[in-house]
Amino acid sequence: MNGSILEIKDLKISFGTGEKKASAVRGIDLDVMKGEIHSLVGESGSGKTVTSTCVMGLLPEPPAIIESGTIKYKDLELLSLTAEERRKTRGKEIAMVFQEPSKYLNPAMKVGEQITEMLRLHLGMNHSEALKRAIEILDLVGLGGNTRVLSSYPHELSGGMKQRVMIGIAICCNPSLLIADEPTTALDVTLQLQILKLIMKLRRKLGMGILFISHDLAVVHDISDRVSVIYAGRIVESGSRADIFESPRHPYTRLLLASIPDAAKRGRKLAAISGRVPDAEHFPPGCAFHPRCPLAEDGCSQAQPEMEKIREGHSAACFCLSKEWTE
Amino acid sequence: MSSFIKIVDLVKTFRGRGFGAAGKLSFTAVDRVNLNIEKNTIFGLVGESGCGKTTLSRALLFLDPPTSGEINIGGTDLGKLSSRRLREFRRKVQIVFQDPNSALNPKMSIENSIKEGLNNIGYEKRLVNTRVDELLNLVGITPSHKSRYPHEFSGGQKQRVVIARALSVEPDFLILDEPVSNLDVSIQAQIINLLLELKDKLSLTFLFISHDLNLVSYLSDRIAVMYKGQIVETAPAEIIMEKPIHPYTLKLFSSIPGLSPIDEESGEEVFHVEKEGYSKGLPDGRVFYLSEQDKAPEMLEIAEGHFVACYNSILPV
Repeated sequence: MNGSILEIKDLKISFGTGEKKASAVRGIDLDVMKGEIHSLVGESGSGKTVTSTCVMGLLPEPPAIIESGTIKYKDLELLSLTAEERRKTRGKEIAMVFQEPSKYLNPAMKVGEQITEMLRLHLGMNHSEALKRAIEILDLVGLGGNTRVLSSYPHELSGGMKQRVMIGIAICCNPSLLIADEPTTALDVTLQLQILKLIMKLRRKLGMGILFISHDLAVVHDISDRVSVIYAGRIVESGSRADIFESPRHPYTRLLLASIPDAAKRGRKLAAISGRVPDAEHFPPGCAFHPRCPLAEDGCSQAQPEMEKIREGHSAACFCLSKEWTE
Repeated sequence: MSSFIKIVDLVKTFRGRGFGAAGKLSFTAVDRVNLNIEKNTIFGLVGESGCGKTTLSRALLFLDPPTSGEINIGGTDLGKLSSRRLREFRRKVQIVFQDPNSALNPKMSIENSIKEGLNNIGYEKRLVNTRVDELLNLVGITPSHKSRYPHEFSGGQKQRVVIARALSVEPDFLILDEPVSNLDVSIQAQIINLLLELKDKLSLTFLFISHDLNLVSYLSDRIAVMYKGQIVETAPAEIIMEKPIHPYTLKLFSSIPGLSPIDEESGEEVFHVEKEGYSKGLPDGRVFYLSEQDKAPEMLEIAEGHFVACYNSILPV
């Protein structure tokens, strides 16, 4: 056993057929170890949310078509389970936290009921057991000593509190895998920091593996153990936090890091990536980044580069990894 | 150096709606704000959502006339202008909003969107077309695309069109309200570079509003930190980053992501902005008061150009 709780192999997902076919995810390999935070970073339309909803089993088929690939959770092959079996894992084994808590909490149901619902359905607790556990959970997510929260409706809570409640609902059955899809994007910086700290604390206490989806490299830098960068439905670089942030190799990763403004870059022009993010119907052939890449050669538009090992745990998919250049 | 924009004791209060008690409730969104912005600089305004940044910018343009206070832009006192003169004056001050989708009329080609402003200021008819091409070139959009509609452009391109339209009436001062928050990471840098380039080329003055502290500390000359309707600290950017004094500034700048991996053990104190107003003790023993009952502290100049509003600030010797 190598300790990985999630193993995605060669996952391909597309939408539509014929002319309109959009290959949103084009062969992704990704794994999450026990107790690890693995971040998947990419821009909008790169396929990060499609991947995560597919792992959750929330991807509607059709319109989505899972063309190939396997998603292994512990020893279970998720894609071969029946809908009923998937439902049982969802929430209990694999839980998800979304970007906008107000969209995913039921506005007409008290917070307490939303937490206990999970406990009664998945763990078969009775009402009083569930209530007791719900109080413990609120304590865990930093809303302890505040039983008022249990009898509140979501609109009565602030954004940060709602996100805490949603995290509480996600972790109440002790899942082994938590998928956090941009959990702090809608929050202010000071709240963002609190929620990130909370996620890290829970990871340690409960030993969950976390797949952290984000577009924000600064946040990813602060929280991740490992990072995978996704562009146009493919992972272009994957490695430990130090690999990605201190010695990035793929031109996309390097340019992306150089294009983020911060105080240290004052007075210098930011490195900008020219062009625009391609959409899934029109991903360029070959290496999808080649139209925007400063290193692109003729060969880049012909063939798709495969992931190449740079050193243990760090790999990138680019034909020009050995070229010297500056951003 | 004299200030180009001078805001003195600006207050914006919203009255509650309805009769009786409800009508008497009021909410002060901007509370006695004093700011000076120098010509050809970038003034960064930071704060969390709901602190009054956008209200301040709207009051500044008299889009929502302020309740009291004085706004002086380039020597003109805006409060003293008639509504007609005010409209004429607004060509000198333009605003770029966060979401280009809602800022552009979807039923108008981008050419017509830009022309509208030019026609309003009575731009010479025969020159209008050349001017539109010139503006689109300036922001990096091929002029041959000008008959297209907003939905045919990507988010970054739309924001470029919005910038072109704002510049069409030759303003001196641009209010940028979260201009890149809606854009993809790889596109943000393009727009920021464009804005900086335009600022130098056209000698513009920017008020840059954002919650992205990394971005504001990258491009601002001066930074003001706003909290619950008040400016709590303002100083040149380098100083506020290196030596912040106000506890809220400290808190805000220490929350910037991307500096170092998070230490989950460090201070898990809850930092909620609750309605009842509060005074919050901080680990180093300092306290800051901002409650509705207490009178808020006055701004003090503790070093040249460095203003802080806090009772318990430890003044540098």
